[in-house]
Amino acid sequence: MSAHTLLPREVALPTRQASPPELGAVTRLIAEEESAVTDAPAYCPEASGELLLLALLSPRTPKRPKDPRR
Amino acid sequence: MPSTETSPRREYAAATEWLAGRALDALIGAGGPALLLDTPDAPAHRALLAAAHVLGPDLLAPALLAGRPPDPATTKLAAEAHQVFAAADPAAPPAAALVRAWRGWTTAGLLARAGHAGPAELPSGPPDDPAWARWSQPMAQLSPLALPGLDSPVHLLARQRALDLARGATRAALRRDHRTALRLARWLAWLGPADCPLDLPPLLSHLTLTGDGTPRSALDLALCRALGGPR
Repeated sequence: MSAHTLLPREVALPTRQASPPELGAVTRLIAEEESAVTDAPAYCPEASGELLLLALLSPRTPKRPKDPRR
Repeated sequence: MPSTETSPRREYAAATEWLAGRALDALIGAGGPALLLDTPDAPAHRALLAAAHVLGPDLLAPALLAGRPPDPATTKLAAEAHQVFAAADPAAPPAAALVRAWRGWTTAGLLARAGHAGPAELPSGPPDDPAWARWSQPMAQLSPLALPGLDSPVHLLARQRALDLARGATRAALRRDHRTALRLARWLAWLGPADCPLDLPPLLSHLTLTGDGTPRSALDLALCRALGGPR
């Protein structure tokens, strides 16, 4: 083996600088936006009218058919 | 096939959670005072560097809170991450670029204390939106700056606008945005009970029960509690 041969473990490449996509990924993790949508229940007084309307329009509970022999 | 844009983010997010778990272990002393980075489940080195840059000052927080110098492996990782990822992101919106600049400046300052890098240039100015709801968002993103022994114009503003921080934390908790609430609670814990306009322990108890349970949130919560202790 010549004196200039490099063994693999001796090769130490300098860490390359981050590419734009990598920087973008890091930026999005650092500057995380607040959550846009939450499932927090909110008081909606106008919803009571909708509920009443739905209750009135909903089909009635099915009843047992009358006995035809009677 | 995943796109080249989403793939690094997903990988880096997972690595950030992993590294936050190691920092949490070091903070609570579960694995000794040093971060245990050389484990079989460790992410790839590139992702680890990205995670170290995302966590920034939080990576060095366990040592900072314990009042001792960070272990050499952690400092080396933070220094390499800063070298590789500290460049400005050309595609970042101005608000995100400002947050990145402040976090990078703080990490560089902590690394300079450890003798690893020179201090960076001071960013142009802290986020100063007069509307508290909008202002609290970059302050939540800057929560890793809420550590003892750090001082900057951002810290000065946090002291001046403590009520806005409390409003922001309350709003986030009501919106069930637990991560943002937790990050703003960090600032409130950093202010100390004398200057905090909110009764913090009930908020922290609520966020403990309702949080997302990720290592990053657990680290934020542990840092909140550590900041609330004697300093």
